[in-house]
Parts: sequence; structure tokens; C-alpha cells
Amino acid sequence: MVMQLCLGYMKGEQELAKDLSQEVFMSVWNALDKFKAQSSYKTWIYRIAVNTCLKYIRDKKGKLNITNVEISEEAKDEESNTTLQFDALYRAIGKLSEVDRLIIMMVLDESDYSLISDVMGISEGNLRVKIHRIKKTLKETLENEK
Amino acid sequence: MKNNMDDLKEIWKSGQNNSVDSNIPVDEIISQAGQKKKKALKVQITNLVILVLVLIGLCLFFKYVTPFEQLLSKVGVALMLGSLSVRIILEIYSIILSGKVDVSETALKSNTAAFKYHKFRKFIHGFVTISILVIYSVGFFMLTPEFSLYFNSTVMILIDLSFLVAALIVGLSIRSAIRKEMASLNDILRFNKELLGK
Repeated sequence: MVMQLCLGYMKGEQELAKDLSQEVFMSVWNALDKFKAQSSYKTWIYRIAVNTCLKYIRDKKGKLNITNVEISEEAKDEESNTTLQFDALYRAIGKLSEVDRLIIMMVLDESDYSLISDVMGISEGNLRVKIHRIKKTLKETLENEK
Repeated sequence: MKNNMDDLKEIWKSGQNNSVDSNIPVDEIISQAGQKKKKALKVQITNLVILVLVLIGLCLFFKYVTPFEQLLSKVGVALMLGSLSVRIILEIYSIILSGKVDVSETALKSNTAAFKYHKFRKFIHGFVTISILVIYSVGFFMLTPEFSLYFNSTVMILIDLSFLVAALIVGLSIRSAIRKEMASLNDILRFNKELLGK
């Protein structure tokens, strides 16, 4: 869950995603005593992961050069159709803004809207509007990739 | 390319199974996270220790190497040591404040707390540090009349010039720190605007 969120956030860059997931685990450890069981572990870890992702971009500003991972024609021949679709999805997610990227990854992870709104701190109504817009953008980006 | 949401979820799930779990050593990441935590703590402590050592060094220097006798010099020493002490206290407060940004809160709440923290950091790096630098410099130049009783004018000019160079370097680092805080503040504002759909 954490690794895939980090990978998607870092547009498929494995090394950066590993670095970011380390930060997330570090934040989890630091926050362990603050867990009050008012929310599920999943919500709690998602909150930490989302906040750490947003913080990571701020802290590493100017030091990060994240580009969407491009796939060579040679690699395309070797890779399975599913992998190619997955890479295309990563690239499309990578084109979204940081906040939208995090929201759509939770949607793809089949988290329900109440959990996502609890993680982001916004109302479910606001979230639904946002998700509708993000899905539309994602769909357009994927169609342009065809 | 499939783009129906259910299909995308399926692709996402298959990607999770194929690439994430098999390729990335999670145990290694957890152990590196522990090392990183120690390293981050070490950096914060090292900065504080350096500041405290400078303060102690200056105290010992003014007490045993150059015990000033004129009132003007004594006031200068007090200004220098006082401003450095204030900087140390604020650095400690800043570390405490950074710990209060709760990453287990909602993104909106955590961002708002981070905004307050970076606003405080900007205030410290900006107004406070510049004021401290000015007070420290005034204090330093208040020492020069008594210094000049023991050193010739060439040495005095060299002392003053080296101080100005050091002040310039500190000034540049203040500027870069303020820019960093400003960039963080702008990012937080952007994230919050996105979250609230403004």
C-alpha cells in the first residue's frame, strides 16, 4: 500500500519511491504513540503517507528531478500488455497535481470515499466533485496515450 | 488502453502484485528508515551543539583572553552573547515546534500546522535573525575602541574586514533560508487551495 502510493507519487521512479517510503516508515514510527484507535490503521497509515508525501516535495524542492518513466520501444516489445498498461497508468497519474495524484491512488486502491475524506480532511461532497474531475482528466490523458 | 475505472483498478492491482511486492526489499527500507531517523536527529543536535560551543568559546575568550575593562566593551560583549543566546533558544523552540506538526492528522490539518511552523521559521530566519545579526554586529563594533588600544590599525582593519565578510556570508545564508521557507509556504498554500477546491 505505502510503496505503491510512493511509486505513483514519484511517477514510477523506484529510487525516489524507496527514499520516500523510508520517510513514511520513519513518520509512522515517530507517530506510533499518537495512534488513538479513533480511526482504522489503514486510515492512520494513509494519513501519514499522504502528509509525508506532501512534506517530501516541500523539503526536497529544487533537489528533485522527477520525470515520468519512459519506456523504450525494445522494452515495450518485451513487456506484457498488463505491464504496459500499468506504466501508462503511472504516467497518466504523474501528470496530475500532487493532491490529485494522492486522491486517485487511494481510489484505485479501492478505499471508500469516507476513508479518503477522513485522510484528506475535506467533506465527502467536495471529494466526490474532485474525484469526478480527476477521473475525467485521467481518462483524457490515457486516451491521448493511445 | 482501457480507461474504465474498474479496469484501471484492475491494472493498478496487477501492478501492485507484479512490480511492487516482488522488486522492493521492504525489510531493507524499514532498517534504512531507522538509520535515517538517527541521522536527522544527529544533524539537529550537531547544529545546536555548534551554536552552544560558539557561545561557550566566546564566553571563555572574553573572560580569559580579552577581559574588557571599558563599559562600552562590556555592553558590546553582552549584546553579542545575548543575541547568540536568543538564537539558540529560538532554535530549540523551533525543533520543539517542528515536532508538533502531526503527520497523523488529516492532510488539511497537518498542512495548516505546517503553514504555521514555516511562517514561524520565516520570521526566525528573517526579522529575528537579521535583528540578531545587527545586534551582534553592533556589539562587535563596540569592542573595537578597546581592541584598538592593543592592536595597530592594520590589524584592526583586518579584524573588521573579516567580520564584514563573515556577516556577508551569514546574510547570504539568511536569504537562502528565507527563500526556502517562502517556497514551502507557497507549496502548502497551493496544496490547501487544491484540497479546498479554491
